[in-house]
Amino acid sequence: MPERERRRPPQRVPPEPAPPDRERDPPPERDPLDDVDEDVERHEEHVEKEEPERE
Amino acid sequence: MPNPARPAMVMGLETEYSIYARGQSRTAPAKDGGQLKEMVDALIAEAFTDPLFTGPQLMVTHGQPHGLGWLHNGARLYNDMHSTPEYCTPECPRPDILVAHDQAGMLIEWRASLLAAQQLGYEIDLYKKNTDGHGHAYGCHENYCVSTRLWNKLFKGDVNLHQLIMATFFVVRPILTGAGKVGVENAVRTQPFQLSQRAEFISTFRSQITTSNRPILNERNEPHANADYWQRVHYIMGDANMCEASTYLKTGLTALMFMLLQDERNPGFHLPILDGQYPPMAHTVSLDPQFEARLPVQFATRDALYDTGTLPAPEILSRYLGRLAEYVQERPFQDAGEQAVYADVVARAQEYLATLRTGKIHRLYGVLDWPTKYALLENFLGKRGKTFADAAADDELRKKMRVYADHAFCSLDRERGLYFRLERAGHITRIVNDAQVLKATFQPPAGRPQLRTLLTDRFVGKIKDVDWAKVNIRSASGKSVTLKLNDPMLTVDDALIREIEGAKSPYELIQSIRRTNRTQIEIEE
Repeated sequence: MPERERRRPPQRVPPEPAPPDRERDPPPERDPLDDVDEDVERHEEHVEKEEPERE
Repeated sequence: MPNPARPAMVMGLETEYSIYARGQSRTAPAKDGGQLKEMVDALIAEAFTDPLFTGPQLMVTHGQPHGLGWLHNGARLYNDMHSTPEYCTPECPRPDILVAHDQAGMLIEWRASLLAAQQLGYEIDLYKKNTDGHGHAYGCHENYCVSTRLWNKLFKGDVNLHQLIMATFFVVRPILTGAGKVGVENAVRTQPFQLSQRAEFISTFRSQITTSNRPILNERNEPHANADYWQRVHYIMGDANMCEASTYLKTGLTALMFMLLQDERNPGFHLPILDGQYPPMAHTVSLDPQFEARLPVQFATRDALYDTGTLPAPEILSRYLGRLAEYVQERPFQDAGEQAVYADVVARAQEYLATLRTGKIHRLYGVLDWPTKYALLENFLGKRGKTFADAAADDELRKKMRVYADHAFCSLDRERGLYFRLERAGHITRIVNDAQVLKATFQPPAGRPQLRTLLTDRFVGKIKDVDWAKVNIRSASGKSVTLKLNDPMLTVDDALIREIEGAKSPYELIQSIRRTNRTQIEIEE
């Protein structure tokens, strides 16, 4: 930021609210992907492949 | 019918899909350019000979398979750098419409890959992801039509408040819109999971370059419009999302940010901006799914900065969402439906962010990309008696996690891909329905894409060239005439549709446009 645009400290910073209570949910009771091992394993052959850098 | 209202914004997405041959070779596609090109060419050829997506008119119009690269729905599909079937959605006037067209692109790519596989004699796997897990990245670029005045502020001259506000927003946006991935590619770290696929590839604040030293603010200057009035912001560091809500928030919130910054009524900002080097802070946000980091910030108003201390990244994002919530109500939208969509985008973003901040990640399972992947991986690890902490120290375990989350989840295979299995099981929050997605595979959105397709449909066999902002037509005398569509926000009214459909020749249409003083089409002979 260019120096000329700085102003200090004419104004109060809005206060930061108290952090929300963090409380983990349990994982979903039933995993809808229980029976997918075969469908996952078929992708293993690609995981070591490298791709061209591109945009 | 009343004339349609001009949209507040048009936007689009360009996705570079990953493509692999099954069972053919374990060598890297990069070292196997022949097969890679063969696959991409075959996929694109199939898409452009599939009447479901092109319509017979466009096939005839182009005369050769995928010669001009435009689908009937106004999208572009082409072989980018001989390595990816890149899909560019048409310009969309609302984020929900863009979601439908993004999903339509996934459907078109998958269907074409099946047809290409039949031709080639081997299976093709397609993925919507941004990295290969080995330090190579590719994009899901976002395009937003902004005023030239704002574009000049963002991409010319010294660093200023507009640039800092937009860059701060982009640094914290992945908290909601990151696609999530396993591991770290560009540093010697063993972090098991991060929010964004692309964040660790950001290495500078602003530049023109896209394939190395990638910037937050990309200066590419290709307006596809009359640059006296409009420019295109080309944001290159976003993630490719599977979940519709992630795409909806990513594009809707960003569109609103640009509306706020370019609003000539000069509404106030009063937003926190990051104080320091932006690329490392982008990396920090991505590597902090527990939101423990605090980032140095200043406060920005219309034209000044005020020093302050530090804030957690979710609090920074929360302040931006709070300002956008006010802005949606105070901005005069021409269309009430459009305002309702943007209000919905912000309300969902605020709700999801509040959920994430209380640690209830599982409540966003099937809603946003990274929480979905995170929850799936927790289950995956739990079944093996492992935790994320174990994965940090176990290369083999992280590799299996990558197969699960970074390949199987983002596979375009609608039968066996994990995202689509979740969708079939009713676990994915939808923004659009299947009918809207199907329609978007063929029908262009209202506005400029609609006009391009109207013209190419009408003058079958006479189209010489098409681009975002022009349609070049051969006339009977052999000369060509260019119909320039230089206003990206243009609307198409019933009278214009009748004029185009009723013209017996390009000459007759030109005469008619001149007579009616049409502003949507400029004629260049």
